[in-house]
Amino acid sequence: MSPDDVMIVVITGLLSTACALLGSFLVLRRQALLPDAVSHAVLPGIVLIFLLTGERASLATVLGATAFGVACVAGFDWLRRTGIVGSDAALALVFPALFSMGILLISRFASGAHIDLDSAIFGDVTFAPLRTIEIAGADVPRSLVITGGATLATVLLVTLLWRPLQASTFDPDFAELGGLRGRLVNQVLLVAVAGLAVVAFDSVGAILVITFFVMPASTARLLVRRVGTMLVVAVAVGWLSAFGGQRAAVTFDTSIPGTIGLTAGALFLLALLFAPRKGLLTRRLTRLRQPQ
Amino acid sequence: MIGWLLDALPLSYPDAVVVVGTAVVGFVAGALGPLAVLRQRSMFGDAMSHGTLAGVAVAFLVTGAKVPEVLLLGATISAALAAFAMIALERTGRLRPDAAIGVVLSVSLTLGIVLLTHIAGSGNSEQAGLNSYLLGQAAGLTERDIVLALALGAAALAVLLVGFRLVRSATFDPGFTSVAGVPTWAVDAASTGLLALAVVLGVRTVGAILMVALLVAPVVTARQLTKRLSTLVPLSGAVGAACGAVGGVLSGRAELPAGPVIVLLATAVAVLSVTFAPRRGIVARMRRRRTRVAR
Amino acid sequence: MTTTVVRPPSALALHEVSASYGGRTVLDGVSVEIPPATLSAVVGPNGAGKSTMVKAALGLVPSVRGHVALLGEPLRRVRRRVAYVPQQDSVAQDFPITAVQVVEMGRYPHRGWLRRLTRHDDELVAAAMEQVNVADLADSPIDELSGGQRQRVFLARALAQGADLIILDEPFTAVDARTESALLEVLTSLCENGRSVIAVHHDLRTVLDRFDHAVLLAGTVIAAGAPADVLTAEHLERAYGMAPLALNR
Repeated sequence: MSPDDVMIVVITGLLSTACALLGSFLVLRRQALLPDAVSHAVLPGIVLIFLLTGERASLATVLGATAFGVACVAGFDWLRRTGIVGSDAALALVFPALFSMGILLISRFASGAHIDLDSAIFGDVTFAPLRTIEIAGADVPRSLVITGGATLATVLLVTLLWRPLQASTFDPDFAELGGLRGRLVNQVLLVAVAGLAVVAFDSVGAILVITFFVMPASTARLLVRRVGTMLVVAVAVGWLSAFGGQRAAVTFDTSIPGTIGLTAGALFLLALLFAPRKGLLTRRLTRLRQPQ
Repeated sequence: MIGWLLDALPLSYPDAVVVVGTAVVGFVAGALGPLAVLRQRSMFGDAMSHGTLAGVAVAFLVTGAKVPEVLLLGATISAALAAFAMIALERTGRLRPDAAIGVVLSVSLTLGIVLLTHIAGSGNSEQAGLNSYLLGQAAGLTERDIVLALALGAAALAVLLVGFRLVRSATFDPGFTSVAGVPTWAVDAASTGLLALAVVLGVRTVGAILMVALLVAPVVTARQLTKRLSTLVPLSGAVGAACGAVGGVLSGRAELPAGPVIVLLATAVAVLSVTFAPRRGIVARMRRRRTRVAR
Repeated sequence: MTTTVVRPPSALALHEVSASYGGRTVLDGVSVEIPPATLSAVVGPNGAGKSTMVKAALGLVPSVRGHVALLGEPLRRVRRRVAYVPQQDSVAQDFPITAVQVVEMGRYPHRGWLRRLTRHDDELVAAAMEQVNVADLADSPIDELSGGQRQRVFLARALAQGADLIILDEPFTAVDARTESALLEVLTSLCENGRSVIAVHHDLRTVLDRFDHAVLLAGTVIAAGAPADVLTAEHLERAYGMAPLALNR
């Protein structure tokens, strides 16, 4: 592996770590599709910041995008709480509207501005090692710094909020009554998801956002008995997908996000069929092995 | 075949094509949308529309050319496959619906990307424009597309009409249908097929990412105004058609892409309906609560 | 766990409590006082607001009006002393967690977000699981337990919390008769030690036989007091529209 290859695996691996941690809680809370919606809803934020500052990848971009991510989550939450619209329909109403605004802004005001929708959606992690910034005299890939920081922040957050996250996901009423501030933690989680989805979107594109938030967590859920183990397994699945996907992309000369997603899909399928307790074929296999 | 209609509209020919096309697509999506929304499967549409990419790519790889009907067939098959995969995953009892949708969305989208990357690298000059399936392009509609959409849409609505009672009981009470002798999986499969058709018709126009809004927003609007499925389906279709037509005209005038305009329009109507609908609306509810307090 | 507690004026006191849910009034000016150290039942027909009443008392329902006192105090001062066993379907059934981890949660209100559980906490957890006979299930994932076993685990969580007031919402649905009887025995012994237990319940038969106190609810309080005085034909007819057959001996 060339140094650039290693760097791509490290960047996507770090990102998958953060996404797997938050994604596990989202999957357990039945909100697995939220990050995907957020990653689409941030588009108007990115365009607006570009129109205001001319920057496409600054701190302001991340903040602007996060603002719209939070707006998406808040709109979804409001619609859901009215009890008039189901939570699935609420999500399907909010994010396409925000994404539409983004496209209209681009085609109206920024059509010549090289906001490349394809690269935003498909991601261009391939070139991530080449865009560097200088830190303490050394050239470091920008994505590495950002994803590293985001991952560190996520690990800290999950550690700090471990009990309330666990309790309010499992039994929201208990967490609220027991003074664990379940509702507050819920909001913190959603904002963190919005921020992380933006970072992921910026570094690896929208496709890998849904992949990294959902696939490792769903795979891990099939394999474990405890939520702590679930997080560890999910992170491991994320790194495996990042590594396997990068290798496959080099071998077959194709899109890195694409092969990472397919590797994650293959790992999920393996778990679905052969997981120790929950695998669809597991019982049949053990029966074959010990004929009675 | 529909030239008379296009001529009758007070619009230039290209504008008329877009407007009629978006109206037809809006009607079909709106009328078939309840199949998804009333069963809490709104986001199915999202995964199905993203799933069309892989189907389009495979159809192109097999034929080596961009024949609209063939690409449409490929898209329909892959959208239906995505839907069946989601239902199957749900039925294993190992995954919640949202995670099942996420898994299928991720796999089908990445598969589509890998195939499209492969096609782009193959140097076939015909491949340009396949990407437009992700974002849609109403401006590219032709009379032939409209006729096709009309024919397929009519067929889908006919099936819905014939099977209406089954759909109704399957929607509101899954237990009943299996008792009545028709297995739920058959109704599931049929309604999924219809949804796939609606998705595929819409994807060309508004794009894979926005398609889900076209399925959901008109239904949410109509649901605020009626409880009966037999009113809901045509009403939701009409809302979809109106948003499609108006959005088509507006986008043409303002030289904007049609898909986002239609989606924003449909969403705005849905939010208005959620807020102000006579009985189920938020304002009506608040007023009812206040009168009670006053009492 | 056999220490007796100082008797508060009442286990639960509601004054003119109203609550609405999705635009519909579920509770309309409920005033009731439930005595301490009793095994009390909240009964009534479906939609009578039984669950809403206890949830409103615990601050778990938005838009509630009126005044609530638990153990004679406002909720914020007694959070640790009140335990809640929710209806089974409000718990995430597919959450990966083992029985002992659920019971350990009972110590979270005392230890907060970050402080480690002490050996004393571990002992309380083990004793609670012993008391409801689930010690041997400690490492079983919760999604592999039967309804009865699961309900025992949740009661163990309330016991480990060391609460003076335990509120249970429909604790005996999907629970076998033997477990129901065993759980009632544990609850009764808690009351004998001065703790208060309030259960939302729908089986009027068990209320008559095993409970000390009953509140009959139908949007508002129809009657409250000793079960035999509350569950009279006249009251039941007012609450249910007709007397439930099971009680016509």
